[in-house]
Amino acid sequence: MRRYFVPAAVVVALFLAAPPAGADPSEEEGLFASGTQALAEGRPGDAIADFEALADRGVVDPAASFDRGLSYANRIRIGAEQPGDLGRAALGFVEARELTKDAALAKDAARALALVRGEVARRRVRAGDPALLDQGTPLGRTIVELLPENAWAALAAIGSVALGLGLFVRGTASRRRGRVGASLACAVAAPLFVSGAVLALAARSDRLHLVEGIIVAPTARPADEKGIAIPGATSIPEAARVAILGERPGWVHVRWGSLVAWIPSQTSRPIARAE
Amino acid sequence: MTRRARVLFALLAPVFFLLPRAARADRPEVSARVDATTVGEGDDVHLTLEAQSDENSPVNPSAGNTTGFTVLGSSSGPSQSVTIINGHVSQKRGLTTTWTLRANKQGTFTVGPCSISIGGLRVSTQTMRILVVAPGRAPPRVSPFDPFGMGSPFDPFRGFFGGPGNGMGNDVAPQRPPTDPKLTLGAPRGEVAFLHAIVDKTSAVVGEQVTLSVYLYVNASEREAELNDVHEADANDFLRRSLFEEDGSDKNIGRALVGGQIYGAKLLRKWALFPLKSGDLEIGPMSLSLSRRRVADPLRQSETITIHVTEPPMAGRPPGYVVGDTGAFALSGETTPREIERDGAVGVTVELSGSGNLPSSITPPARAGIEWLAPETHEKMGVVSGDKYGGKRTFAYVVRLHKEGAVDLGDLTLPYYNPETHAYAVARASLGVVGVRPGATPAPSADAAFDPLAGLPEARKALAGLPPAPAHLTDLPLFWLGLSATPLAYGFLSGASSAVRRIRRARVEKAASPETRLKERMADAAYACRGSDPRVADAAVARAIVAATIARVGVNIRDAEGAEVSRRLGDAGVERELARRVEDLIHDCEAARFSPDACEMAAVKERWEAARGVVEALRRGG
Repeated sequence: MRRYFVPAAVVVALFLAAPPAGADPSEEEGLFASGTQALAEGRPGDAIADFEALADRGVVDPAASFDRGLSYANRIRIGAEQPGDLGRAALGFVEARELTKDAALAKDAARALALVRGEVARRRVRAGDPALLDQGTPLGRTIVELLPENAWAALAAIGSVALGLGLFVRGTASRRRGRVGASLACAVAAPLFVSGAVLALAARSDRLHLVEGIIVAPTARPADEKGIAIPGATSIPEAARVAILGERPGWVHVRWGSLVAWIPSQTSRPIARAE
Repeated sequence: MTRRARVLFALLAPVFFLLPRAARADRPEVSARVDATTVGEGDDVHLTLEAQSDENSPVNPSAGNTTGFTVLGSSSGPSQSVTIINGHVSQKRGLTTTWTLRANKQGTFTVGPCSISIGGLRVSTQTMRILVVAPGRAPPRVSPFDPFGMGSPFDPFRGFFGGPGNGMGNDVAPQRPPTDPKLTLGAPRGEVAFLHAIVDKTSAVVGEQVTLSVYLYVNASEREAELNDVHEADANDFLRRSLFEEDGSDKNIGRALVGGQIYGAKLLRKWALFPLKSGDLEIGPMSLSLSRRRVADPLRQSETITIHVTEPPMAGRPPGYVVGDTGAFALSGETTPREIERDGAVGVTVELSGSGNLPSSITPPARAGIEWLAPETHEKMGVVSGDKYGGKRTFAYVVRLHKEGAVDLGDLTLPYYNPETHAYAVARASLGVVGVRPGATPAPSADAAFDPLAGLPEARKALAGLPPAPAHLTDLPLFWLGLSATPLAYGFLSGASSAVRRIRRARVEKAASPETRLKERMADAAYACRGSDPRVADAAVARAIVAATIARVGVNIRDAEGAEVSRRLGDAGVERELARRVEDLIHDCEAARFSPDACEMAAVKERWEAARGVVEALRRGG
């Protein structure tokens, strides 16, 4: 019996140590290496195929996104541009900037993104279109994005403790000065508590439910829910960032600034997220 | 040949000669058949299994699946044969088993596979399909004694003296024209004529060919139907290609047995459908109208068919694969000339061929200094083999080369998924190297061309990995609990304190109320009346009456004497009679209480009963 124990234990250990099905790090690294090599050798088309294959396999990595963006940008540079390459390059750089904690990579991605968006704006101006790529964020989301989610949560917690203490002192203090001080503390802590909690909730909701995308076509023409182009509506420019509100076969419901409309699904791609 | 070689040859030669024979020796021959593939319900059908082996006797035969039939019985017969060819004796042992099956219900059933043991191995046959139709609707069977359909050997005149019912006991049904069993249907889908649609598969991957055939069945006893108002099948989620040379034409394909009747079958449409997306995609019905006056409802529709479409697997998917590139493709390319001047052009002809939905464009390899102009495309598409759609597309590119030296044009690649092998493959064509000589014009300097993306950063050489996901306070239920704890605790404490105060106040108020006092006095009086001291009992009864006047009419008669009691009660609205009764009771109680002679308890109890009546009367409002 004992002589079977060791092989059985080895088999069990190997089974437990095996990576889960679907994850094949060596294949992912191979694709990445192949992509970077193609990029270095001036074959951006092959590099794009490799990096897109990585993305298709669900690999979310800031370096892969960054190099994918570079591949599209290099295809433009060598004169083999395909429609939507600028948008796809912007998508890669946006993903890299938002996924990484490496300051250098974030800086490089931001710089590359600025170049790409600048080129889009330049082309739009030459075509007589407005150069504006972003229509601004709604006020509510701007406020939510002022601080990280945990900071809002911490403010709410501080407000809560201060409010509780203030109310307690106000209820128990016998001296007038103490009651006035407690009332003032309550007056400050209560809004802090409520606004902190609401903004923390909003930030959490954004984190869990907000899906954003980048326009990866020369333009995306807004349409109503029947698919009919909205008359007079501005086309959403390439590389613009939109909030994806919903989907249906062939169409994506997006918000771009104050414009809420349907656009063909192939004209936008969602930004990959770490979670 | 040396002596050693001759010895070796002599030893090995028998082995070479015997090996093939040994390999052949164990090959058993097993087959199964049924004597009819279309039978009526309640008819018998015979399933025969024949097995032969060179060495071992076949044993233990099994009919396999006989769903839809009852096995009435079986018979087995062993056989043995000896063959001598060129002096070689071979012996075969066999077993023939026949089962008699009776059809229980209508429908199409699969019988078998039959199996039998030979030398310890179980050998199986193919399955067989049997169509069971309504009783009497099955086609007549060819007699086993008449394998060539020449009629009965007992009827040399072959019906010269009449057919069925000729009174000579030869009751043979008239011969029906031959029908195609593949077109056989259990029941017609409409009167006179109907449409019937079939597909070759009900599940596919995106881009895989699904062949749709739409048949028109017309009862052979009817004259040719005129068709109008034809609406094609709706297949919006598919790319549609006709497998007829001329879409809209039709083909007579023979006769079919439908519910025991002969129908003429015509193939109206045959399409290769290529799913454009995944999901359960629907192929709508084709419809047409029969122009016949005696047909009540002339509209005929084919079936609606749903195809379950999935994406090809992610495992093994090659880079550059585009979902929908499904089939079996081949690429070839030719580049001419191979020597040009800078900024000159070469022609690259790429031929894409194969079966399936050939992509309408190919992405050329993008390289610096190589400019691919839009190609000119020619195609020849149609049926390539069987029902497969395919052909070839030719892309003629003009490629301008802007750099000098040996310029490698690279490879054209087209990854695709082959649904037949369930595997990915890559069609590839190498375009080769073109020698580019310096041109007449000087090479443009690097500064000449404006490059808006010139300042792009360097690529990253390694995967960076994702930073660990931050913990979010708002994901913790404890956080929200703690967040609301202090305000809630304050609210709870202040509420509890307020509630306690309120309860206390209510209790005090309740304790001081006349009604409470009355209840207490009544209880005291009842208790005292159950005792033995009449004076104490009278005092208690008097106090109860006083408490009742206070509680019920709001009049205190404690210090009132004689008629003053009646007067006060009367002023408060109490009836005179009741006021008098109160006065009398008070008086009686006081008199008995202060009498030098103690009265009986019975008298006290009478007063107590009277007092209770008075209290009740006061409660009712006097």
